[in-house]
Formats: sequence, structure tokens, C-alpha cells
Amino acid sequence: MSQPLPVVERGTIDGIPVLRSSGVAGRHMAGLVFRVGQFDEVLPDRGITHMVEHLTLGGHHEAAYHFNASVEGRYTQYIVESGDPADIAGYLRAVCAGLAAEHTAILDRERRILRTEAASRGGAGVLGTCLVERYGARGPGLLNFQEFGFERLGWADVAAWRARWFTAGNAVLWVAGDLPDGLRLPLPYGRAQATPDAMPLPVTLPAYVTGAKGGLAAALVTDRSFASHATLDILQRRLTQALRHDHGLTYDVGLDVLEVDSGHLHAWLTADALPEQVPMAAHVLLSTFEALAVTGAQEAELAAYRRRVEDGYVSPAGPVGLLQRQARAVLDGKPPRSVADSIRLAAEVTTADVAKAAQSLRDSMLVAAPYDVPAIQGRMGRVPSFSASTIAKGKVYKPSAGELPSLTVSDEGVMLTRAAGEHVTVRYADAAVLLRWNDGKQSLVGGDGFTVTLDPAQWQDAAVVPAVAARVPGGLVVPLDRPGPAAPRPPAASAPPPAAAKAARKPKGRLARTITSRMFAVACIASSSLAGSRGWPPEARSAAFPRR
Amino acid sequence: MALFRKKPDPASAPAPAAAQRPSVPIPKLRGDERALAFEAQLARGQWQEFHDFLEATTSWGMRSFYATQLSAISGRPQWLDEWVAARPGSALPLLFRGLHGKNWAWEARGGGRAHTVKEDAWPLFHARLVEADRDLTAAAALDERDPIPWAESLPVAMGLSLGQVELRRRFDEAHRRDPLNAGACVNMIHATARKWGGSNESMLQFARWVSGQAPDGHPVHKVVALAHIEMWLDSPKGEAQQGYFRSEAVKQEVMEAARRSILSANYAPAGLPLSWADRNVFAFCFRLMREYGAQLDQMRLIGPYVVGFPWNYQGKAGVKYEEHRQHAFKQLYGLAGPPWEAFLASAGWSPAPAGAERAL
Repeated sequence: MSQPLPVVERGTIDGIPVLRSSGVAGRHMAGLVFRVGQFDEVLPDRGITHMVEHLTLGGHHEAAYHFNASVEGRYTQYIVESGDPADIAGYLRAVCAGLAAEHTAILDRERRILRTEAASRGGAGVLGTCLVERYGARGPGLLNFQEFGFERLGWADVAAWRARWFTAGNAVLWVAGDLPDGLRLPLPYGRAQATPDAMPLPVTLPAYVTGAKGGLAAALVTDRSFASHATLDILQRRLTQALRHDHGLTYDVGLDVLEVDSGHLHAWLTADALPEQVPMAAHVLLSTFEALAVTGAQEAELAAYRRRVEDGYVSPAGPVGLLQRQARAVLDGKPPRSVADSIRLAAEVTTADVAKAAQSLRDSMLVAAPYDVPAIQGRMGRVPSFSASTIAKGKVYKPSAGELPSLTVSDEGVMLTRAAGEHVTVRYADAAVLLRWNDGKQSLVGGDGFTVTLDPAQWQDAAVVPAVAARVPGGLVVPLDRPGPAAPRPPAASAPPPAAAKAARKPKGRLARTITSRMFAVACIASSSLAGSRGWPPEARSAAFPRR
Repeated sequence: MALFRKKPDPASAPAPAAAQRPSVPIPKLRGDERALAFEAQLARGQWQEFHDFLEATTSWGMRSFYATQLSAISGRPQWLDEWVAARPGSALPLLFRGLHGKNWAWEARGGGRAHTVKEDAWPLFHARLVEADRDLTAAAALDERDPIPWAESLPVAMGLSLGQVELRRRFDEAHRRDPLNAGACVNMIHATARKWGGSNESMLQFARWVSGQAPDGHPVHKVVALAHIEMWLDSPKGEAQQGYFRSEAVKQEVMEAARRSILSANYAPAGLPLSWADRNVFAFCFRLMREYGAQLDQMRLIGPYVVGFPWNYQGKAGVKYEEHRQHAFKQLYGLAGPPWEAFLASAGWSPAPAGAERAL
């Protein structure tokens, strides 16, 4: 290797750990990273970290240098790039000042901007569906939902959140380039915040969901080992070869990674495909996955992987990726890994390691397809459409007309019954949020993501709706100044072509499942995705793995 | 103008099941004694001799016959996995298990149209097809020369809705290994049909392409007849369907295919059991074409080796075969046909072959 590997120097400024490495000659880049993100929030306050991020820069609109900020699952980062180290110091000074200032005056303005940003960005789509199926309405599953915090939180709430998380003890600064003279980081005192484990629901995997648009996706969870990293890297390349070059089914095989906790990553593998090509694309995707799990990687693939890892460190973006990974490791309380150690660990990955990791990834798989696809249905079941638990004893309410659905209400919670054996249950103790719409409807979202929406007009005894709502703690109530969801319809997935439609025979009761399942929440409530991105280059936004 | 509406020809349309009507026996495994012997061995879990036989069978057509016929076993015998485990380097057990998996999948689904399939049968059908595809893919990888895994993966791809491009790719792989492989060509007729996401035009085009490529006497000219049977099945019920095979263009094309295969002096099937299948297809078409002489000629050549397909499109194959035989005699001679045994004797056949069973 002719290029020198980046070396990271460590120090502290105002009690904040600082990591520095050389960067691109004549340019300087820095990131102030906090160990807080969207997955640390609760559903009624969803978006509160994003509010802090916006308000911090609310008075810092323009500069002659590049700057941005982003909120990810577990980290929030303020980032700057310039040819003049003084700009770095100036920006970080502005960030620290913004994190200390009172922002009541601009709160409503930023709230409107945030809501506009969310509306233009759209929902998390089927990624959100997969996350809520795996994690429910907590942690990473929050990505499936709107940022309700914009609707209800006042300055006191935002300030309290900021005081808890945006502190010197919970921050790390990285600098790729020169450390500015006289740099100060006047952040309030606070302690480091541990990263909680993301808690998956007890769902049998692999499984599939429908409703994807434009192709297929697979949601996978893995540890942070180099074996997993190599496996995903090789898998993406094999899929590109098979789906695009061999079969002409796909334009792009994508791979995005979310850090769900300090030990695990969520990989989002996507393959676009025309509707009529989806069955074959699914078969190729899953067959390719299975082949890797059976035979592992070839030596040539491992050699190419090792080279990409090494090249990644000496590429122009290498030092930034390295610094971001190390910053996150420090925030997670882990020792940062040296470049030499990383290269050594990458080189130690074997064919058998890849086979094992591929099998583990497959066992964690949630596949998203536009509709029921034979090649998927032949390999795994659909995610549960109804709650596993029921409310055994309680008062049963009848609908205004007919016998079903019925509503069972007890001290424990509520259960909507669409048909025999088809229940959606939300227990008060497990409630994640109560959405109070301005037309009297109320949507009770459980921690597992299942949702019961109650319309007073639907029940013979309309008083049942406020009675249920009264059982939910006030802190979980989100008033929404708009009408609640109309009678739900099946999700408008893109229609399969005639041939595929034959394969996509809809199971009986699909409508019922759609109405009462977590998909209901997806269709009617969700609209958010990764917050805070303003188009910063992806390599600066995700540093989960060494960059290629 | 006809003063009276002509009664529809009952033989020209698929008919409801007949009740206790005269029937001819349909020999199991086409009456092939070796196949029957292997069937008995396999029923006892003894696959070793069959493995050696398949390995020694160099004709792809005959290997395909024995493998496909004997793999049609109800349920999943344990010895399949034992065979695969015992011969890890061989493609044959994987091929056989893949063929069985395909049949087993269709057993779960049933042979009817999609709307007749129970909802809970679909996941099982698809799961078994996925397994079958894995086995056939592995078999193809282990024996690069063998066209059978590719040919027999066509119905698997159809069941998994993998699309026309993939079907064509699999056919091309079989064709590359064994040009005009009969199994691949026949499966491709079904695969390109409208009911499987293709079009009847492309199906006919494919059949004509195959026939155009095949030399005189090649059995694969039969695909033209098969394509017309598919067209007939897909015709609107009523006059259009009843009259389909009486169209001069259809009759000429089917007759030309027959002349180039079963009626050709160069007709050369890979084995006798395969010729029975060819002749049954053409006899069926001749019946619908009202070419009774040609129909009876084939029935005499078929003798006791009646094959269920394609007579079973109209109901119980043995019953329909006998009905059509009788109908041909009446049309030609104004008399009922002789009893079955007498008919066979008059055609020079000795009593029914091994494996003969009544009215399948």
C-alpha cells in the first residue's frame, strides 16, 4: 500500500474528547457528535431531537463555508467543512451558543419548517413497516411514525431534552485537518448516556410484509463484526451481478445501514424491479442469499473485500469515516479500533465466517414485496396480522350496525375483534401514544405497533371512546388538529401485471388484516424518515462500517 | 340454412365426469415392465439399482421417462433424503428428488385452475416448488450435460410465476444441452400458453419453430398438436370450441405434424413408452378433427398402451378413450366397435400389458 494509513490523535477540549487526523490537503472538516437520536425518543415526543438540532442553528443561517446537522437513530451530529480552520472554530462556537440559548421566539417558526420538511420528505415507507414489525412503536420502530413532537411540545420540553442529552459528557469532537487555534467547546456539564439495546418483538423470522413499491427489500439485523460486514459487502455484489448483469431484472442493488444500538446494525437491502419482474427478482435475491449461506464466500471475493477495506482508509473520505466511527465508539463507551486492527480483522474473515454470517442474516430477514410473491411465500410466512394476546374479561361494546367489529374494554386495555380469532389488542400499560383527532376519533397505539382507532360514531355507546381515552396517561396523549383516518382501505400497492396478479392471489380476509393490523398504522399515521438530513454526502452521515 | 339446430358433438368439448360407463384399462407406468419393477423396489426404499440404471441410461429421453414417471409418488418418502446423502457427488438423486418435489407441490395444489385451489394450499405449493427448484438447480450444477433438470424446472418456474423471460432461459439451457429435447419442448408449450402468462400466439409460434427445426421422423413435431390442444382448451365454450379442430387450417397443420412424426417412415422415438404418448396425442386430435380412420389406425398401434393424457382433459381417460373408439367405429362403419379384447386381438395385440388398470 503506497498511501499512508490515517492516524488518529486523541485529546480533550473543555472536557470533551477530541479525535484528530489529517484530512484532504488544505481542507478541514469537523463534527461535534452527541449520543442521542431518534431511537432514544418516545412516540409522543417523536422529533424532539430534530427540534433541538433545528433550534440550535436557528440563528446561524448563512456562512461562507459548508455546514449542516443531522439526527440519526442514535447520534446527532453538527458538521462543518472549510479551507480555513478558523471557520471550524466559528461554527462550533455558534453550535455551542445555540445549544445554550433560549429559543422561545423562533420555536413556532422552526416548528413550521420542520413540519414542512417532514411533509416534503414523506414517510419511511416500507422500511418503516419493517422496523415497526421488528421493534414495535419504540426504538428503531419510531421511524415508522410521524414526528408528533412538533405538534405538542413547548420550549420547556425541548429545553429539558437538550439539557439531558446535549452536554459535554455526552459529546465527542472529531477533526479531519488542523485543529483550530483557541478552539473552545463551552457545553453544559452532563454525563455520558448509555446506548440502550434495541428490543425486538417476538416475531418468527424470516417473514415477509407486502406494500413495497418499486421492487423488493430485505431488512436484516446483524452484529458489528467484520464477518457480517464482509458478508453484506459480498452479498450486495453478488446480487448486483445476478439481478442486474445476469438476469437484467434490477437497475440498482442498494444497501443502507442503521445503527440500532451499540452492538447491532440494521441493514436495508433493496433491489428495484418492474412489477412483472418482482417474482423472478425475489427468487434470485433469496436464492443468492441462500447460496452464500451454504457455501460461503469465494477466496477471490474475500481478497477483493480486504482490498476495499484497505482502500477505504486511504481514500479521500477515509479519515472522515474512521473519525466518525471512532467518535461513535467513544460515545458508546467502547475503545476505538485502530486502522491496523481493522485491517487485520477484515483479513481474518474466512469463507466459513461468511456462510455463518449469511445464515444469521437470513434468519433475521424481513422481506418487503409489493404483493404476495410465490418465491417468498414458499420460503417464509407473512408477519402476524393480529395480536397474539387477547383481553379475556371485559365489557363488550357493539357497533352501531351489525355485530362486528366488537370492542372489549377492561381495566387492562382494549381489544377490537374483527372476526373470530382476529383481534387487535392494546394494553394501557403498553400504550405508546394516544392520538386525539379533532373529529372525536382516537387512535391508541400499542408498544408493539398495533393500533386501535375508535370513532364514537361507530359504537352504539359512543361514551366508550372518551372512557378508553381517559385510561391513558396524559403524557401519552397527542392532540392533532385534523380529522382522524377515514375507514381504512387496503394499501394501494402498485398493481401487479396480469401474470403476476395470478401469483399474487389475495388471501381471504386481507382487508380485515389491513384494517386492523400494524399496517393500519403505516397507512394512516406514518410519514417520517431519517430526520435532519440536508443532503450532506452519505459517507458523512453513516459511519457504521469502514467505507469502501 | 339448417332447419334443426345441430346437436353439439359431445366429444368436441371437455365433458363432465362420466358415471360407470365402459372403460379401457390404462396401464400403470405405460406398462413398462422395467419401470414397474423399479417402482416396486422404490416402494421398499431400495433405490440403489435404480440409481445404477439411471446412470447407465444414456438416452436423455428414456432417462427422463423413468425419472419423471417413477418420481410421481404421493407423499414424501424418507429414502429420498437417504439417497441424496448416500451419493453426494451425483446429480441423479437430486434430480429425482427435485422431480418428486415438483409433483409433490402440485399434489398440494391440485390440478385445477387457480380459483379452485384452497387458500392454505398456496404456501405449501410454493414451499415445495422452492425446494424442488433448489434440487434441480443443484442437479444441473453437478451434471453439466444433462438437459433434464432444466427441462423439468420449467413447470417449477411456472408455479413460482418466474415469468416468460426466465422460462425461455431455462428452455434455452435444456436446448443447448440436447437440441429439441422433448421434455423441454412439451413443457415450453404449456409455459408459453396464455393461462401461464404467455400468449397463445407465442405458444403456436414456438411450436412451429420447434417443428421447423426438427428433422423428418422426430417425435417432437407433436408439440404442434399439443399447442392446438391448448388453443382448443382456451377457446370460448360452445361453437368456437366445438369447431376448433374442424378448421381446415388446424387440421392441415396437425396432420402435417403427424406426417412428419408418427406417420413418417423415419419416426424414431427414443423408446417405446415415449411412442405411446406421441400416438395418444395425435389420436386425440384426429378424433376432434373427425379423422376417424386415422384415429382408429393410431388406436390399433397404441393397442393396450393407452396413456391418460390428453384424454383426461375430457373426463376419465379410460372412459373417454372407449367412447371415442366406439364413436369412430360408428362413424366409419355404422356399427358399434368390437369389445376391447377383440379389438386388441384384431390389431395383433396379446392380452393387456403388465400394470394395466381399469379406468384411471
